[in-house]
Amino acid sequence: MNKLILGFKREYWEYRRMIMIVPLIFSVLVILASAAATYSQKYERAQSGTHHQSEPAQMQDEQAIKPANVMAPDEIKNEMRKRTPVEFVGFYIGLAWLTSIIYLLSTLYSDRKDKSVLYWKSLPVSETRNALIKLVFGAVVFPLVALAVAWVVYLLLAMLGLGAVKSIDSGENWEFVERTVIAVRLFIWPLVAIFLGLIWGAPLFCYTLMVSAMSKRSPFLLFILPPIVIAALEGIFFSSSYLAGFFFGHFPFVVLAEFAHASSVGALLNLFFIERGAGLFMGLLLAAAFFVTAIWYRNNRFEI
Amino acid sequence: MNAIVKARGLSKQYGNFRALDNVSLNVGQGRIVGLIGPNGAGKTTALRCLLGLSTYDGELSVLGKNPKLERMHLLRDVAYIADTAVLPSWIKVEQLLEYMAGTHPKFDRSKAQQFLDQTEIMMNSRVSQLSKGMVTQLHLALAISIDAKFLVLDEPTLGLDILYRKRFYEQLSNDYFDEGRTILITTHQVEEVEQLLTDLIFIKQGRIVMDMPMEEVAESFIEMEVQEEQLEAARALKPISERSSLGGKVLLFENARASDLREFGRVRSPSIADLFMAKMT
Repeated sequence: MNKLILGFKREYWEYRRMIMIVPLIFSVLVILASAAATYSQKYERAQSGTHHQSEPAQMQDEQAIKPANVMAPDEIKNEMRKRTPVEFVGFYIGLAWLTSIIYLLSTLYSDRKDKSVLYWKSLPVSETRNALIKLVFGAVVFPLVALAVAWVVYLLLAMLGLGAVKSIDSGENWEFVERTVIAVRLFIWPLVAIFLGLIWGAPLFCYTLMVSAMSKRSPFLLFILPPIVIAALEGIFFSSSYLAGFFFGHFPFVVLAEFAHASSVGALLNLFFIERGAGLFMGLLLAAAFFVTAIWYRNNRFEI
Repeated sequence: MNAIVKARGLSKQYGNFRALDNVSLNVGQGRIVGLIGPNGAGKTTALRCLLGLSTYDGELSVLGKNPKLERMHLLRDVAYIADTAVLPSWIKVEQLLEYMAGTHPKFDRSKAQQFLDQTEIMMNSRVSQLSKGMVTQLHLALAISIDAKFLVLDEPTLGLDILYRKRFYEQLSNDYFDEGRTILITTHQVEEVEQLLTDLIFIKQGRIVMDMPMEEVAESFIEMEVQEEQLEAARALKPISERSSLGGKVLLFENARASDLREFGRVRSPSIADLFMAKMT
């Protein structure tokens, strides 16, 4: 257990900047954009003589929401979705996965390039453990850190816009939604999305790790060329796009697209485990093949 | 002899290049063995095989274990310094100690700390901020703080100035070596390890060309300085090498008696460097 924790610590020590910088920069942009929008609207209203309260930009639409007790059920659902932070945190998770692909692409390559692989390999830690830690760090820890930042920023903006929230909470239904459904969607849904992203996107994550383990010069070229070449060859010789569709369809971002439109966590799980169960299973098999290849390269062809 | 390393018919092929060719050797406990050879001779490949870092053909046992199959177990009792450049540059000294303490069951953090306290290395320094000599000291501190039975050093002082090289070997013999431990060193700077070694192995083009204890080296090889007029007579005794020196020639003999040679010139024991040159050419 200690070795496992130290493995994650080692990744954090090495990639601390990478894991934090993207969500932090994005947060600063969100906060600045929100402040600019708020100031802009305040100015416009002052110009037109309208009295208003100060609130962050993403809360502006909410002012237009009618009290829940005068809405139709479908209307409530739609408005609820508008108010929920799914897209907001989803964007953070998506950015984190993009960053994690860069991380996975460089993590096994960089220690081979600077020869520090010889030091790591002189310690009694197996390559399977190392590769597994790196995979989880990229596919899970990166989005979890981004999610934590997203939560803080969202709650900060929500608090700043508390006046606006209060102004629309004229009905008890909305109070209920505020305290339960939104909290679930803010805290539980993204965690489910990260889990689903890990298993649905496993072929991409493991492929990236394999490229990092086997690349001798430019991991990025080796990362993009084979899928493009295979897609082109399949198109030319078989006039089909099954392989390319399968690979590109297994990007974790697919989960985020479904996540934004899902009506419940159950529906999301049902979609990936039942309706797309065969695809998920095939993807995991492919991911296992990539992962085993990465470990083989790590054990046998680790020098550049 | 309690053998720490036993190799029989050890071979390694990289494409058409035969890096190790049917190597057989034994390394006994409590020995300091120098594995000496020119670039590309197979030294590093041999060490990698011993550590389970490379596949190979033939039989190999290190500390009674098969390096290919039991690498994880083996590395608990083996410390390895590849060369000065292999510590990750981004890591801090204190993080290295924490990582070593958590991952290596035989690493003694306080011993490493004590060793580092005698140096100018700061605990919060990154490896990239240290000089080459300091990085080597740090790596040595890590290696000797492992209660390892077998220490493998692959060109450990490459690129260091003479002060750091001398200090490295002093610290190695003072702080690490005892009769229960074994050291295997590869280096080009043979003259600096000459006094340290108990055994000498020469490797050339993947083959062992000489393997003997240092005390036997002195008995087996004699160097004779010969003047021009005695040269032909001395050559008749079949030296293994001949080189020019000021005012004459130096001939090196294997398994010759000093008493037979003295009548032709001045005899002495050859240096390891001269012996190496003789065996490699």
